[in-house]
Amino acid sequence: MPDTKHDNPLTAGINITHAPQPCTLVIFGGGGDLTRRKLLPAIYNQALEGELPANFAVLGFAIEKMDDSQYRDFARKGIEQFSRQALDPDYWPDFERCLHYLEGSFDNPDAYVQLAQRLKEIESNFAIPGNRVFYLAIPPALIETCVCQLKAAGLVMPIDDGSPFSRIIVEKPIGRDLESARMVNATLSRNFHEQQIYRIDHYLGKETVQNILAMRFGNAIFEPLWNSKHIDHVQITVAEEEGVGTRAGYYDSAGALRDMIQNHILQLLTLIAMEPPWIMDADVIRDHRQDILNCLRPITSENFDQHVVRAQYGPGFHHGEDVPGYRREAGVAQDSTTETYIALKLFIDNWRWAGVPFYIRTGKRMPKRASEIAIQFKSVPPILFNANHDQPLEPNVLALSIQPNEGLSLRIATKLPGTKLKIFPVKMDFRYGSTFGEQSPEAYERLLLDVMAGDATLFMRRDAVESSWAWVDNILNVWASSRTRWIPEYAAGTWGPLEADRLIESDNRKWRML
Amino acid sequence: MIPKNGASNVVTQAPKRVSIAHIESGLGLLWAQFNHANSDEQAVVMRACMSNLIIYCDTPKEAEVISQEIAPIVDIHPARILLLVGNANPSAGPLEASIAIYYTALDDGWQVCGERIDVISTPAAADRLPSVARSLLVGDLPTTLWWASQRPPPTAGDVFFQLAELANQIIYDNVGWLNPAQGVAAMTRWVAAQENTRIVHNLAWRRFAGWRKLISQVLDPQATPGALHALHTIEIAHGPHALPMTWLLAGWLASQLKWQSVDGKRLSNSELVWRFRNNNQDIKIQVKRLPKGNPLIYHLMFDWGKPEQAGRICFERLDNERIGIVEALSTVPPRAFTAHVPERSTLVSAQLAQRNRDKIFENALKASNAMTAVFQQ
Repeated sequence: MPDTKHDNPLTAGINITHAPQPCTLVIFGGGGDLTRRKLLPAIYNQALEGELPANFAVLGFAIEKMDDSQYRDFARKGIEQFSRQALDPDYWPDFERCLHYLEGSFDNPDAYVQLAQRLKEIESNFAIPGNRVFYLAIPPALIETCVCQLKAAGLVMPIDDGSPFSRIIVEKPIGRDLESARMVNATLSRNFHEQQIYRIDHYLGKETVQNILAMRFGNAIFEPLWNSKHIDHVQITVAEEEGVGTRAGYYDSAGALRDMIQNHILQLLTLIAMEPPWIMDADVIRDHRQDILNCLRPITSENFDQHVVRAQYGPGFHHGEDVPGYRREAGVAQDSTTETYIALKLFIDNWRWAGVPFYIRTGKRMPKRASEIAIQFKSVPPILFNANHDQPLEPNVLALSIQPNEGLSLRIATKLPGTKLKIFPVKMDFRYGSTFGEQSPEAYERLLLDVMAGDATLFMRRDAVESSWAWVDNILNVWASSRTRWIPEYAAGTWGPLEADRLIESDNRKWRML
Repeated sequence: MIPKNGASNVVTQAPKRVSIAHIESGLGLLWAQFNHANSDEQAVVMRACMSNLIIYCDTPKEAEVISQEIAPIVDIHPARILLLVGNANPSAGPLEASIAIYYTALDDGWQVCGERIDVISTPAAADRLPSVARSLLVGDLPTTLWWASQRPPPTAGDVFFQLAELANQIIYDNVGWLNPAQGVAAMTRWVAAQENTRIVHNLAWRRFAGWRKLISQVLDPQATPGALHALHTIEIAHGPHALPMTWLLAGWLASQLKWQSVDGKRLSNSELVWRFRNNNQDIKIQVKRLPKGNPLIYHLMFDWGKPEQAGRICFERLDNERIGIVEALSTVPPRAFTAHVPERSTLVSAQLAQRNRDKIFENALKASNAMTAVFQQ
């Protein structure tokens, strides 16, 4: 693949960090929910902002019966409903021309012959030099079929020989445990080079998540404090308001540990805890994140009860309305013991983080939707302003809010005005939306452009996926060996079970009120 | 309270007249009053500030236009704004000041995102404006001078030079200059003398950023093999007052593709032509001013290759939102792309966040100046 920056002097100074290259985006599962809700709106928003390459087209590939015209209607409805920017009827006719559809069964070799033929037509019509991005927006069970068929049909170009690029995007979950993840990765590796594989975790595309690196390594004041000497503990919360909704089929066999911890939350943890990279290079950053996964202290059956709490939501209230418990949700087994909530205490056994607990909680049917990383610093010595043991000063907290409002806040102690010396905590807030007055792009928008530009920094490498599964497997194995059919329950619309409170309170700490 | 400004989320109040000496304390008072009126124990009014922005214009009429642009600027880039008007008629004395704050609503309070200080002066007192500005800049923040006067900055003399001394970045706009050739030459000399000390930016450059991106992608060797280095004719049509932008576009192509300007000629009152040379190949750029329209580039046509392998691409501004592309002599059907004509406030707020000199722009500016030198009237 020639480097256009060198061959084309006109690109100098334009989009230095992102130079998406001309390509066709082939969406496997192009008629599915992810495509309708996320992918097509993301592409539309980027087109509206002029971020897509000039030579670009989309080809939806799926089993549903549709022609190009019907697919454009399908896309329009999805964009009208889910796009962050309203559909512009004047621009739509120009945009929809780049949308195409091919009906076909993923396991039928003839469908791939048609796919190749259709791609050639599109590439000729849009002057696309044969570059292709294959997005697998499909159930995990179909990954193997699709990648093998792509390879067999000659649609996977080798790298480094000057030929157009072939890149593949794979959605989570990559497997449901270490063994199955290894199998998925082995299948991918047999057909694509690791440099061509983009394992997507949309959390990493969020503005605040990317800002973690900027905040840590772009400011001199935080990094000297970023260690066990100054940090008391870290809390990571990913709370969802919704119940299991329409995902019961998948969720009941997965649970919160697989659905949230193994991917999103462990990736957040690595960004918070990693050592400073020396260059903004995809592999250097991913190496440093991998180091953290390697240092996670395993949770074993001996220390399990002090480190893990799982629970399931029971009936309760959501915005004042009755909502059913998990086992009463459509599609969920009535005796299900799948966890919809999990709280963990974990440690990173390296020099920087020795002894600092990381408390993690995630759950469904929480009082509100909120994702936050909070760094709680150690208290000031119990003298001067902190001499009153009955009323200790609130420690400093740096909180990074990921959703719904992206931003960060710092809690500091200040003197209240007046003749008396009274200290009061004040929260200094920085919000992306209100400070910059601009809408942040959706995570998928950023990540799709990254793939077109060949930047894998925000994607998971094979070793990261397998290391995180290896760590999570310890917990899964203890659960599997336990014979109990009992799982603690929390009322829908609350912050989780009492057991989770005890997990942190036994260390004289508390979950943050969000 | 004045309602929200257009699509911006920013709200402001009517400006309050203050003496020059009490500007800072007056702003403090405004902030405190606003804080007192709008906060409770849980929510306080916060202030966000990323830059100082000094805006200089000559007349109250220009200042009135800029007044409407301040809210969208501070919405994107919270800043302290100093709006200086050098040719006004204060009601008492040579200088007069007024202040206002701009704020946005948060879920649980308010955030001040802009402090505005207007200082107007008589022409005789205009040379005092830099001293007023100097005392009002917020420390620890970068300072940008937006030269919003119709006069090319270096031709304005001491007011410009003194204000430029305060700034890390100078923004100007050469669209609308009466004598573009003279202005380009003066600006090129001044920029060359800055020796990396400050960023200089022409809004015209950012105004056709969308064009640059599309041209670079469509002519990319991957997309259109053989085109970029075999170009021989370029036709450009622009609206009134857009000649400096066109000039810059030609300068950009020449500097990036290493073309040497050979000569230039005025064909008529509305048409110019330049000849360049590169690797023994002649390249002709023909520029035509359309009789009416906005200060925009409307049409661009690239021809390349020998007759038997000729290629042609036409870019056409279809409306304020779109640019259409027709690849003649090719199977690629016509296409259209989003390319908004940006508001001036959008260009300024985007540029405020830039912290590095743009060498590509500076090279384009140098090349445009070289084009001036070979031009035969």
